[in-house]
Amino acid sequence: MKKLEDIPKKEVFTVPDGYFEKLPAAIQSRVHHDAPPAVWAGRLRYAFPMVVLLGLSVFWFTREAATPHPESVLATIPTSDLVGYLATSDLSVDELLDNVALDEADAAELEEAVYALDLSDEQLQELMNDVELKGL
Amino acid sequence: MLIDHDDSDDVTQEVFIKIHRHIGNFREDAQLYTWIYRIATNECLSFLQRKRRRFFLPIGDLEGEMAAKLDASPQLSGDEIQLKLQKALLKLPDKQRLVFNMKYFDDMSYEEIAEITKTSVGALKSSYHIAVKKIEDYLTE
Repeated sequence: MKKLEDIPKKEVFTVPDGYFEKLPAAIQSRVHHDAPPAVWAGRLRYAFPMVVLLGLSVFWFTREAATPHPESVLATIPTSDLVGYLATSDLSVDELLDNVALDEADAAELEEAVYALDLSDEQLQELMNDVELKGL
Repeated sequence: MLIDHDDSDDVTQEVFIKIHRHIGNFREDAQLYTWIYRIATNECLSFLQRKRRRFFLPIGDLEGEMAAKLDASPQLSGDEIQLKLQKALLKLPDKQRLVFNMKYFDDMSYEEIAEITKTSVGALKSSYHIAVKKIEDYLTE
């Protein structure tokens, strides 16, 4: 039976000539090749979509602002032209009022202009005398 | 451990790169030598594991491939009995072969080997004793 202690201990593996002289350079080149990306590159990955979103938002809201409001367009048209158009259009008063967004102040002012009669008793009496009351 | 010079060169470079990357994590709760040796042994064992998986080799085939490299390697010196000893070592499981190499060729103490491999001294003594027995049986064949 062969015993391990009978075998002379010998390192059988040898290193090629100049191996350890070349080793540092080989390791250095791999270290530079495998260098991790700069920290800022990672952050840019998240910053870029945010910048795109911001740009799109600015574009969207400025685009809406550029679109003129209908009321501001109407304000530039002379009242006589508007009256003339309404007189010749097929729009009824009810349809017109349905589509106009009057707030309470506007409605009260309109009612005041149409229905309010700032007449004295004498003026009222004269009017009544002039009007032919038919069917009464 | 790896027999082939190119594989050994690859793993050696990988070990130094890992040392370079992780030296900041070295906690100084062990000697630097122990820490570096541990990285080297882990890299060797991982390399052998990957090699088996990559080529779908059962253990026997890798042993055969490495034995063939022993015969063909120009870097090998030593007589026939030395070569036979190296082939006997290839029959051992990787970790057992590692422990044998550290004890027999590097003359390390069981305590040093235990610190590197994170294995108990008792388990190491048992592993080495079994390895010696297997080698002597192979050499007697």
